[in-house]
Amino acid sequence: MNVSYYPGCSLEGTAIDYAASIGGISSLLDLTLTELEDWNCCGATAAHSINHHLSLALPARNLALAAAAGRDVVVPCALCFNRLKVAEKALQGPEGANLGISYPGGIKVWDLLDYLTQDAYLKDLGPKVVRPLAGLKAVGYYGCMVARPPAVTDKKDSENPQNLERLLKVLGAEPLDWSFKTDCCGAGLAVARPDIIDTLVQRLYERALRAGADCLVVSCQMCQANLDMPQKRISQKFGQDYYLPVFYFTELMGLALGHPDVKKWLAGHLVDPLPLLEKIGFGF
Amino acid sequence: MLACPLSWVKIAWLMVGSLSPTAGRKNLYVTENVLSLNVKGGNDNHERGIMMPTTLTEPLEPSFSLAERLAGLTSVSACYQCKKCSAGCPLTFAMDFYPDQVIRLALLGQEAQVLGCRTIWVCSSCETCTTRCPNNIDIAGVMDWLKEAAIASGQASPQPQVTRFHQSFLDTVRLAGGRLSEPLLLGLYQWRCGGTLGKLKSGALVADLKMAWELARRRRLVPRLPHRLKGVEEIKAMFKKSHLYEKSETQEKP
Repeated sequence: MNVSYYPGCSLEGTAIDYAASIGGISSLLDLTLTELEDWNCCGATAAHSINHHLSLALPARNLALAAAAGRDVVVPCALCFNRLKVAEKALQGPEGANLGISYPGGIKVWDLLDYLTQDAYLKDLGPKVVRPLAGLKAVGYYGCMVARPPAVTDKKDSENPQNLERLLKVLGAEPLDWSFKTDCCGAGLAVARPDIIDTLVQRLYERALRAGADCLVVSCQMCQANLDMPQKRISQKFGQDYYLPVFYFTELMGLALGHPDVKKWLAGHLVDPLPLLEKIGFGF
Repeated sequence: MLACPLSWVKIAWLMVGSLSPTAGRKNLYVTENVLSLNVKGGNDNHERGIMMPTTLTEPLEPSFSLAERLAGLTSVSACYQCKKCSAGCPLTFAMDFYPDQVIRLALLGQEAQVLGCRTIWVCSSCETCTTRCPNNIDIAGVMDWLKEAAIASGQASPQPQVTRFHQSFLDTVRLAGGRLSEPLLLGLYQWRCGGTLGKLKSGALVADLKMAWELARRRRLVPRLPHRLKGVEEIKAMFKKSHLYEKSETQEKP
C-alpha cells in the first residue's frame, strides 16, 4: 500500500527514534510511506490554546496538501492526528470558508496505530513474527489525543481502545488490562509545569506496576517522552526505584519481526529497555 | 442504634458525601443573587498553593453576555451541574476552580473570575470532560476560548510559564518558517522566562542542561537551521490573519 505520511515536527527532532522505527517496519510490511511535500506544523497545543484561527488554518494547509497528493494520510503523532481531524471537521463546517483553504476531501486521515492494526494487516503480520515477544508483560498506553473527543477522532472505543492489545497479542507479548490507558500524562505542560507532570506520571507508573506490567507501550511520541524522560526525577521525588521502559509499538513490531536496527532505535530511550529484554531472553 | 434509623440515614448520607468527587472541596452555588464559594480544604495530598479565600461572598450580577459570545462554540447554558467533568478531570489537584465551576461562572457572566483563574491554564486539553459531558458542552473548548480571551483582555496570566510556552511555540513556528524547531523553542522560552540566576541557585538550570545533554548525545536534540518551507508566505499570511497573535506578541514582556 502507498499512503501519504505526515510525520509532524517532533519526529524530525526529539522523536527521531520513533521516525526511524516507523521507516524500519514499513520496509518489512507491504507499506510505502510517501512524506507529504512541504508539510507544516499543525500548531499543536499552543495554537488551539491561544489562537483559534491558527489552530485550524495550520493543519488545514496540510490537509489540502494531502488531498492534492490524492492518497489517505497516515499520522504517527497523536496530537497532529487530532489537529488534522479537527481541521477536517472545520473545513466541512461553517468556519471552513474563513480559513482561505480549499479542501475537496476524498481522503482519510489515519492514526498510524489504527492503520497498522487493520484486520488485514494484523492477519499478514502473524506469519511474519520471527521472534515472539514471549514473557513481555505490557500495558498499552494510548494517551488522550488519538481517542478524544470521539466527535472529532471518529473513534468508537475512546474509553477503552484495544488496538495496542490486539497488536501485542499477535506479536506474542502479554497485554495486561488496566484502567489508565487513556488517562492524561500532561505532556503539554512538561516544560512549563514539570511538577504537574510528576504527579500525573507517577500515578501512571503506580497503576502500571499494580497491573503487573514490566513496561508501557505507546503510540504517541509525547507520551513516550513524558513517561521516559523524567522517570529518574520522579523516582527520586517519590522515593521509589521505578524501572518501566516505554516502548513505541513500532519498536516492538521491529523486534518481533527481526529488524536489524532495533537496538539502535532503543538507544534513544532514557530508560534503557535492554535489561528488561535480556531478562526475557532477548539478547542483542 | 437500630432504634435510630435517622442516624443511619445521616451516616449513609455523610458517607456518600465523602465519596463524591467534590467532597471536601469548593462548593459553588447561587442563592438569591449571591455567589458563595466555600473552600473547606481538600484532603488531597497534592499541593494546593494558591487557594481561594476560605469563604467568599459577594453580590452577583448575572450577565449573559459571556454565554452569548460562547454560543458560537458551545452552549454553556445546557449545563445542569452534574459535575461529571470535574469527576473525570485528572488536573483538578492543580486548579483553583473545578471545570464545572468554570462553566457555571461563565454562564453567570463572571468574566473577571474565569479569565483570571489558574484552571484555564493548567487544563491539559485531554478532552475527557468534553467527551463525557452528557449535554455535549465542549468544556475543553471553553477553556481554550477563555485563554485566548484572557490574553486579548491584556491581563497578566496567573500561570505565566504556561502562557509564555504557548506564545514561544507559535513564535518559533513563525520564525522558523513553518515548522517547529525544538532547540529554538526551548531557547526562546528559557530566555523569556528569565530568572537565570534563581534557576542556577535552585539547580533547575543544571537539571535542564543535563536533560538537554542526554537528548543531544542520543541525537534527539540537534541544533540545526530550521527547514524553511516553500509555502512560507502562506504560513506568514495565516499568522497575519490571526489578529490576536499580533496583540499577544506586543504585550508579552517577561
